[in-house]
Amino acid sequence: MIIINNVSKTYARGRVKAVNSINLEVKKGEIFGFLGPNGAGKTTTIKMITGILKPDEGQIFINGINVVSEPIKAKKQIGFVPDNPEIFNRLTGIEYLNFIADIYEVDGKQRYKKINELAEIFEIKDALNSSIGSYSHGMKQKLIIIGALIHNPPVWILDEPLVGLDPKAAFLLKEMMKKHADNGNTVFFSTHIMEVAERLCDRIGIIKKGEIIFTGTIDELRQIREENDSLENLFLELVDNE
Amino acid sequence: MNKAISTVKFYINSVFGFSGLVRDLKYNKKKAVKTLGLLGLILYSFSGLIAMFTAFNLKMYDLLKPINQQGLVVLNTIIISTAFTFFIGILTVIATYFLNQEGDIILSLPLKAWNLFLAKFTISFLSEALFAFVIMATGIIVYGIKNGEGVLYYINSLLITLTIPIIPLVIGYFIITPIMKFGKLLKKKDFVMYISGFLALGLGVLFQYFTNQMTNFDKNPELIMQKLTAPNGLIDLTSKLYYPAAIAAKAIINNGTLESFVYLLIFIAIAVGALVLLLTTMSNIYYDTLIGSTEVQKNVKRMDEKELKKTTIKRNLLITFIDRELKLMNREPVYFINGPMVIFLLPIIMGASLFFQNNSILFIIKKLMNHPDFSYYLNLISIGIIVFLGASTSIAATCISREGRAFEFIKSLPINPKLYITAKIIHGLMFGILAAAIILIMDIAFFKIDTISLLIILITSIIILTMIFILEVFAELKWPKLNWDNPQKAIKQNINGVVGIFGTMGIVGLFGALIVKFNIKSNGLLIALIVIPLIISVILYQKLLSYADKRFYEIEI
Ligand SMILES: Nc1ncnc2c1ncn2[C@@H]1O[C@H](COP(=O)(O)OP(=O)(O)OP(=O)(O)O)[C@@H](O)[C@H]1O
Ligand SMILES: [Mg+2]
Repeated sequence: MIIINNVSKTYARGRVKAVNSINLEVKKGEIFGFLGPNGAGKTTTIKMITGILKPDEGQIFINGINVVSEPIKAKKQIGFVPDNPEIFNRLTGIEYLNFIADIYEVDGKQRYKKINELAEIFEIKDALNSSIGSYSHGMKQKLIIIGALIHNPPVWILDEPLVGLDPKAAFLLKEMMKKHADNGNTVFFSTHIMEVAERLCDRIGIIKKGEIIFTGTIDELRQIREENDSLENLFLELVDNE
Repeated sequence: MNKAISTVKFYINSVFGFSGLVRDLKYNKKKAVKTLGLLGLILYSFSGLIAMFTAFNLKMYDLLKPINQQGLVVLNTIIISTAFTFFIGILTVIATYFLNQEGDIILSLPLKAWNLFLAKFTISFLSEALFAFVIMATGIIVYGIKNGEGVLYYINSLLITLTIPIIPLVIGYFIITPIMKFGKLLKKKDFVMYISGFLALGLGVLFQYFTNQMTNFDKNPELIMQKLTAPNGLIDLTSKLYYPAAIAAKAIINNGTLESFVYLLIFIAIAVGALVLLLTTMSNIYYDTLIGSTEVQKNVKRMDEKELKKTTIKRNLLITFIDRELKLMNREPVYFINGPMVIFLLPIIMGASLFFQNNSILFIIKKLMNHPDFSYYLNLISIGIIVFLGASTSIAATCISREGRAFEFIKSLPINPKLYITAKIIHGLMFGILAAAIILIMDIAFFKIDTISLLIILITSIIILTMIFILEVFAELKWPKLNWDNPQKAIKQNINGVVGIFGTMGIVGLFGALIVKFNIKSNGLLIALIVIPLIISVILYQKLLSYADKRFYEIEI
């Protein structure tokens, strides 16, 4: 469960509020899609949820744990996939995964099982011995996804996770997200792909210029307009008009 | 041509950030002050060298004036700055060979190979021109004032100075570009970076030899002067070997004559010709080395089930952190060459310098060894060298900055800042101990020091280093430089790193000077050198832990 309470953030070098007193609640068993135009504040919000940025005001709770006051405990609940997979190019894939697993204090048996299983599914097992610098964008993305899932986190936070994945891997990830939510866990992800949001999400939130302009189910979004328009058009209208 | 010029402009701005500095001067005074301060610090660190050259030139002028050969001062300065720009130039060529900005985007632009090469050349030229300017100034000003020269003399000198770095750099690129090409053929870019590092090391040793020749000057000026200035002496020989130097000297000394003007034009023409030759023959090879420069050697060995099982074991968290620090530092050539390798590099250079000094130093050492307090001083000197070496690795002083943007990812993990910071200090200390081992082995080999001294040196230097590292980590937490696109910036253009090295050097020097000046000779000093830093370290470490616990979450990129 994720609760965002009245959270605002202005970057040190920024002039405007990147995120302006937003409120959100993502329940257990829910897949929540976070939408909005470029520069709307999606990544900023996700960075605050994951403890990368400190909110100027407001609180964020992960499964009831305050991210700012109990960061280590809160982060243990999270599996995070950042929007940019450029990290630790000088480590090999397996070294990276072992590092992550050590931090999450995953024991040898579980990490072997997870790595073996996920690396097999995502077809990067052969590359685990190579340095991350030699990976393609999608391979890095896959590696980070495996790292994010290695400790069986109840809350998944994914910033544009499908970018760069091949269709097969994208399909797999979507299936995994569904299964995760079905098991009573929380999935929060940002995306620009409307069909994905439509098909996958239990609820969506739309952010524009740092403010949430809509939260609810896709059907609720349709009801506002009282038209059976495509989600894409609804989205464009909403973002343009308000 | 227009494209070439704008490429050059783009490179200059993105590497030196002049426009950034101008912008900062307007909007962000604090940052501009920091940048200027760093420049000042770098210049200051060369002040010793500048003073040495100036003194040398003054003496040389006075000695040569009676035989009306004072023009050799100018020639000599030209030769020295040429040699200097050559040695430093090789380093610059290597350091700037692969810049991150020119990743795939620049390569995808419709630019000719020579445009890019010229832009890169200009980058190295600018920093070399600064060196040439400083060194030339020491000779040109001495000669100019003493000989009562006019404006034209200085104008000619300036033109010559700006032209001097071109030929050495052209030679540098003629050497390095094929090596890089070779490395690309082998698909081992990192390996090539190491090879180039060692090449630079060799040049450094050679350079050491020349400077030693010069410092010997003090002892027997007449003899050295004869060696230098005699027909077929060193200067004569060098200028025959590198004739453009003689041309440049004539252009400066005979200023105001037509002959001088012709020589000036010839010198510039030679330099430009060399550059054109480089651009026409090497551009394509250079371009080729850039393409796929981000390519990394792929490990073809696949991981089998058994191996996977064996590697996936849980480790102690502290060990995990230290292991990561070691791997990330040692596998990045830029970090390794400017960091841990310094521990091996400096003793080699020091050793070379002892070697080239021939008998004089060894003689002094022998004499010292008979001194009743020899072992006391040896202890202090060894401690000083170890502390300096340990701090020269910049491991602690750049420990947060090296993470770069990945620091955000680090922050998203449930990491205990105390452990994370402690691993960084231990990482630094590991190389501090390595430095101690090297120096102690030298002490044992040359001076047969006893076990007690050995322990004293080891313990004292490690405790002092601990204190320094804690301070450096404080600075890194407070002022990390995380927003970079090229790892060079994290280690070489990082104020914390620069202050760490020069600050330590300054403190060690200050202590040395105080000990010599006040003739401090007591074992109490050694005890103080252990006890005081120990107390400070313990207190500071506590403070560091609680500071890290707070600050870790505040650092934002
Ligand atoms: N490091 C930073 N410093 C200053 N301003 C920033 C920084 N990062 C983002 N911003 C600003 O904050 C605002 C929100 O950016 P954010 O990255 O959260 O957008 P986003 O919704 O993730 O966009 P995209 O869809 O392009 O990923 C933008 O106006 C951006 O310019
Ligand atoms: Mg984003």
